[in-house]
Amino acid sequence: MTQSTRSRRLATGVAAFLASIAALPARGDTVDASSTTMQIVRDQNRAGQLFTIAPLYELVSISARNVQNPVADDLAFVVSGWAGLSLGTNLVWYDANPPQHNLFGDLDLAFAQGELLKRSVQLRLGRQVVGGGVAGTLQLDGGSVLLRLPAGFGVTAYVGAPVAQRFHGGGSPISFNPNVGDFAVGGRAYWTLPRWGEIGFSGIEIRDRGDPGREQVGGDLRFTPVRLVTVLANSNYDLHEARWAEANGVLQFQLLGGKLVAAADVRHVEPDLLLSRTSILSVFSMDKRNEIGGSLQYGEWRALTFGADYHYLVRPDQGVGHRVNGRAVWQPRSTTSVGVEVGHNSFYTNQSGAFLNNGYFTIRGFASQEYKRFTGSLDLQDYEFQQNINNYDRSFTAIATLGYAIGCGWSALVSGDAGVTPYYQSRYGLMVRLAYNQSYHFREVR
Amino acid sequence: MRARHVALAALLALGCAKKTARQEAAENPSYNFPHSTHVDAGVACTVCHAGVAQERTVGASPQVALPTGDAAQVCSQCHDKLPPPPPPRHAERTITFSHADHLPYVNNDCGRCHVKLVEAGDRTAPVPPMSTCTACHNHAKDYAQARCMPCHVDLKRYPLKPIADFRHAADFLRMHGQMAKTDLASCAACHEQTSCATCHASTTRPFKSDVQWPDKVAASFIHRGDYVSRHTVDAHADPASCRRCHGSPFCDACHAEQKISQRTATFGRNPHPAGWNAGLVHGPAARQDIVSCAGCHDQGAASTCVACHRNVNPHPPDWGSHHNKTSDVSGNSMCRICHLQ
Repeated sequence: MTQSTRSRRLATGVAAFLASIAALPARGDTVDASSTTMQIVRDQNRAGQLFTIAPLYELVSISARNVQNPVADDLAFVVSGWAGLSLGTNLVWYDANPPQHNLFGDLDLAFAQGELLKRSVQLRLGRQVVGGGVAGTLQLDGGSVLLRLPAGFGVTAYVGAPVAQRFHGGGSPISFNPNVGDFAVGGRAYWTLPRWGEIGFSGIEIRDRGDPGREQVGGDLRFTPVRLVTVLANSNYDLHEARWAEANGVLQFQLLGGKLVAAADVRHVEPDLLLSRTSILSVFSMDKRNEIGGSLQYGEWRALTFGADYHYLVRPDQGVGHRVNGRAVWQPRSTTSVGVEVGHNSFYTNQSGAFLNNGYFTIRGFASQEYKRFTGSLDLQDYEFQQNINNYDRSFTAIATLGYAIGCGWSALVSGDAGVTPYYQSRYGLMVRLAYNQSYHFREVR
Repeated sequence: MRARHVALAALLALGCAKKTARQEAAENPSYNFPHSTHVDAGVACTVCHAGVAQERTVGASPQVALPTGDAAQVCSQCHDKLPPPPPPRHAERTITFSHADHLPYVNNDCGRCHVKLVEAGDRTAPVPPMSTCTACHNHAKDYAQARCMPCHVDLKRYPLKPIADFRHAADFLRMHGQMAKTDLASCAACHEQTSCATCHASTTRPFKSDVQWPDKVAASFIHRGDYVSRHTVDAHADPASCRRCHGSPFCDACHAEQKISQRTATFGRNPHPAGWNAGLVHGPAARQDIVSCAGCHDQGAASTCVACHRNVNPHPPDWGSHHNKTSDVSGNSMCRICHLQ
C-alpha cells in the first residue's frame, strides 16, 4: 500500500469516526461543540528566504457527556481534531522537504469514557491525555482505568502507544512526541485523606521496538497541614540510569482571606534524563539544574491585581542565573482590562562573571475593551537580548484584534500583527477567525 | 453554488439551535404549583415529597406524588377536587447529595436549605445556595483548592465562575504541572481534556495557542509572540521544560528547514563557533547541555557523534557504576550502534 493510499484510508476512517461521533449529541445530556475556522496569511522565513504562507485551518471539538445508556454512568464521548489546507506556498508543516500534499490534519483526542460498578471504576478508551505522577502529560492511543477503592485509596493505570502525528505531509515516520516509543504502560496508586491531602506512587515504562525508552518511578504528595497552607512535592527516579530525574517541592500560603497567595518552591532536574534512553545522545551527559524561588500575587486592590516571581538558578560547577517576572493587571470593569508584564530571564554567569548563555529582558503591555458586541485588543511585546541573535538584539511585535460576537455561539475576529525581529527585518501577518462555541443540554423526561 | 452551500449550512446551524430551545421548552414547561401558598397553610413538604426522607441520591426526577387516601385529607381542607398531578419533569443530577443523611441534622426542616421555593410561573427551580452547605460543613479548604468533587458532579458546563474564583494565581503557568501530578481530579472537575490538549497536544497541532487566540491578551500562553527568537535562550536555560512536550524530531524538523541541521544537504550557516569540533570545546558543552545537541543531532546511528565516538569513550565518568555492559548491549539496540555484542 502506498503512502498516499494509506493516508486516504486513514483520512476516510477519521471522517467516518468524526461523523459517527457527531451523530451522538442527540443522545447526550450535555454536548459541548466548538468549531474554529482560521485563515492565516503571513511571512515565513526558510533559511533566509521569505515566503508567504496561507494555511486555512478548521478545528472541531465535540464532547458529549452523561450519555444515557444501560451500561455505564457518565458515559462521555470526546473528539477533537483539526485539518489544514495550504493555500499559499506549501510550507506549513515542519519538514526539510516541501510536503507532497497541501492538505493536513490530525486528531488531538478521540475517546469514550464511562463509569462502572457504582462509579468505582472509570474506563477511558481511545486517543487521550493521561497524566498524574511520573507520567507528566502523555498523549496516548490506548486505554486507561481509574479504580476508586474504599478508604480513599485508588489506582490509575494506562497502556497504549504514545501518539505520533499521523497525517504528516512529508510522509516521514518521525514522531514529535518526547516519549519516543510504540508501547507505554504505567500507573499510579494513591491514598486521599479528606481535609489533609493525597499521597501517590507512580511508575512508567516506555519501549520503542522492544528497547527501553523510559523507566521511571516516583512519588507525589499534596498535604494541607493547616487551612490555607498547602505543601506539594513530587519526584521522578530513573531506573535505567539510577539517578533522580526530577524533584520538586512547593509551599503555598493563602493569606489575607485568600487575597495574597504566596508560594516558595525548590526544584532539581537532570535534563538529559528527559531524553529517551533510545537516543544515542543519552549516553553522553550528566547535566544537573537546581532552582529555588517563589511567587506572590495580590488581588484585588482597586481593581488591580499584582503578581511577581523570582527564581535563583544554579548549574552545579558551572554558574548561576536569575529569572524574575512581574505582572499587573487593571480591570476596572468586566469589559476592560489593561496590563503590563516585565521580565528578566535566565542570565547564567560563571564564577568569573562571564555569561554562560544568552538572556533577555521583556516588557509587554496589553489592553482589551469590550463595547456592546465588539471586542478590541492591543498587545505590544518587546524583548531585548543580552547577546545578539542573527546580529540583532531586539524583537518587537504588535498585535491588534477586533472581534464581534455574532450571537448563538458564533463569533468573528480579525487580527493583524507586525514586527521587527532578529529573523525578520519587518514581518506582517493577518488572521481571520470564525468560531462557534455552544453547550447543548438535552434533558430526559420521565 | 458555493454561496448556496454556505447559506444552507447557516440555516442548518440556526435550525439546530431553535430545535434545542423548543425541545427544552417542551420538556420543562413552567411550574404551576404555588409552594408559598402551601407552606403558609402549614402543609408539610413530605405530604407531596413523601419518599424524600429515604432518598440517598438526587435522582433524575424529583420525588413528587400527590397524596391519596387518608393522606389526601390535608388537601381537601382547601380543595374540593384534587388538582391533576404535576407534569413529569427532569431535574439534572449535578450534585451528590443524600436527603436521608441530612434531614435528621435539620430536624426535618427542609426550609433550612431550601430557602427559596419554586413558584407558579417559574421556569427553573432555585437550588439551595452553597452557603447552606458551608453553614455546617467546613468546605472552605476544599473550595480554595478547587476540590469540587465528589459533591458536584459536572462543573464543566460552568466554565467562567470557577476561573474568576480560582484565579490560578501568580506563577500558575509554571506551577500547574506540579499541582496536576497529585491532583488531576481537581483539574478535571472543571476542565475537559480538550482544554489540556489545546497546549499539550503539541505532537499533533501545528500552531501555538496564541495564534488561535490573539484576543486573549491577559492569558498566560507559554510561547507568546516571537518565540522563534527566544526559544534558544529558554532551551539553554531550562532544557527540561522543552523536553516535556517536544521530542528531538520536532526541533530537528524545523532546524532542517532552516538548513542548520545535520540532516540538510547544504548548511546555510553553522550555528557553532569556530573550532567547535575540537574535543575540548564541544565535549564539555555537550556534557553540560546534551539536550541542546539533541535538537539537531539526534538521528540514532546516523548521528554525527557516532563516527568519532565509536572509538572515543563518550560516557560520563561513573557510567560503569550503574551500567552492566553485557546486559545493556544485549537489551538496547542503541548500544549496539557502537558496541559489538
